Amino acid sequence: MATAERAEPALTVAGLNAWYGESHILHGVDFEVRPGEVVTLLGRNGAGKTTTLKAIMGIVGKRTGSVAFAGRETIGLSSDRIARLGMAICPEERAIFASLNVRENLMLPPRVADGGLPLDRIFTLFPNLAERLGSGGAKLSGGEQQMLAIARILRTGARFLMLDEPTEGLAPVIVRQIGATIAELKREGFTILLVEQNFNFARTVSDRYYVMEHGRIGAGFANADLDANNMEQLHVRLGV
Amino acid sequence: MIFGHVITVQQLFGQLLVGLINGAFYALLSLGLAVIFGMLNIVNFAHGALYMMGAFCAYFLLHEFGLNYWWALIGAPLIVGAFGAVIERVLIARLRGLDPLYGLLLTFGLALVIQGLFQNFFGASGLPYAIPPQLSGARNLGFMFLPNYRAWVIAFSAVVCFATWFAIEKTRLGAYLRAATENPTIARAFGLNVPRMITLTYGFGVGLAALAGVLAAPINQVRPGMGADIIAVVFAVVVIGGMGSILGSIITGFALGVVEGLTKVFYPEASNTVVFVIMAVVLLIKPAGLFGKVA
Repeated sequence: MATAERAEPALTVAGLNAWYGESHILHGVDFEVRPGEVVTLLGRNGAGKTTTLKAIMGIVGKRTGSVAFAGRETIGLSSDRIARLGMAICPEERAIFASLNVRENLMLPPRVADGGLPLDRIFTLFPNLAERLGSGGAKLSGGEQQMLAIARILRTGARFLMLDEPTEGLAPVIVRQIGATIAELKREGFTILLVEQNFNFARTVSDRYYVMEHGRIGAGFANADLDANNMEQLHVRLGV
Repeated sequence: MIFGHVITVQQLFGQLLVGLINGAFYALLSLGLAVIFGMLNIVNFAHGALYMMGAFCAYFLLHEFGLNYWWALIGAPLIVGAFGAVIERVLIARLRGLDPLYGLLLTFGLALVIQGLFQNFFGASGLPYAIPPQLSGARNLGFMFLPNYRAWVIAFSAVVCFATWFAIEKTRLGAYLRAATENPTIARAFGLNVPRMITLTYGFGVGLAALAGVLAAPINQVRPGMGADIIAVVFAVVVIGGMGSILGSIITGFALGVVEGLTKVFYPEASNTVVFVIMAVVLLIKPAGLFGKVA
């Protein structure tokens, strides 16, 4: 943990502005993620958390500012080039392809680097998927789709993962499974940028947090900073 | 006697054969259209003109370079397909994200330009292209004579259609194509070069059209108007089968060719319109098409 704080950031976002069509969503977002960390973006609905992940991945309409990943400026790159630098996204809507079966969904994202999890490791983390390989992508339950959405980016060798609301709408037992998976990935050295509405879940896996409001970063703090006083303020800010 | 016409067994099977041949062309052409529509979301009005270019390409390969039919079967789809890829990169790609109407207008304009150019240089009458010697002659099946070349066209088209379907539905490359068709943004975010896939898909669809043109060259004459003649029916086939349905366009293509052929036997007056009547009925009952997925 101490080493991570002194290391070069894996991701540095500075002055990030983003638009969906005419709507100006992000108004100058600044934050960083260090290698091996799990950082969570907190905030109310509409604060711009999902847009931030999409802007980093290059799949938002228009973006300006700076997104430095692994020492390279990526603001002008197309999303496929960003993916091949070693970044992967698990979108909020999961985006499982209905015209592909589970196996094809799992194998679809191409290898972008060495160090991806082998298939047997993935099936150990997500045993349900092994049983459903021939099913159509759309036939899976919400929990299974979420596991597939996470599993398929683990194969590629991308070491920087962005997970958008991975526990949304899922049963507590599956939420625990996902939490255990994230903890396992962290032990293996993955760097994770998490978006979560469920602060109690985020607490179990996260090292640091940023609170987003109206398209900007409002505050940043670490686990160690939390005490009874600012927890109260935090809950107010998050509208929980 | 049916509908006041005397029909012999020879006539029946003769027309059935013609129907299957036409069906083979309908299937190949609507398959190319379906693949292009699925991936690019544009209706490729230039498809008939590119089919015509395939036939002319076979003609030129023979008369300028001495390359026979078998070379043309490979060469024409590659050459015309490459031309299609260039069109996509230079022209069609600029319309990405705009109303599909622009793609329709562009490809329609391209069809007119291409056909006009060929008409300018070669006139409206046809150029001959001989049946390759290996496929000449016919077999006597008892109830009909089966010309070898026509049997080849039907069999080869069926194989190409099946191979295309298999490649799209069952292979890894096909999985990339299906994913990029369904959600190009996320497919690209995984590292797939979606713009390049789009270009290659358009080239492939055009290549299928050109292949149909080579197959057609010994049967019909090589004429600048041959694409325009066939394209209206092909669009009706695609609508009936369901836009974007690979299997639907193959089955519907062959089936409607047969239906047309049978109509010519039993009720010749309707043979030109029967496909469009069926299209109207399908649009009223199941607008997504017989094999189409309801959005």
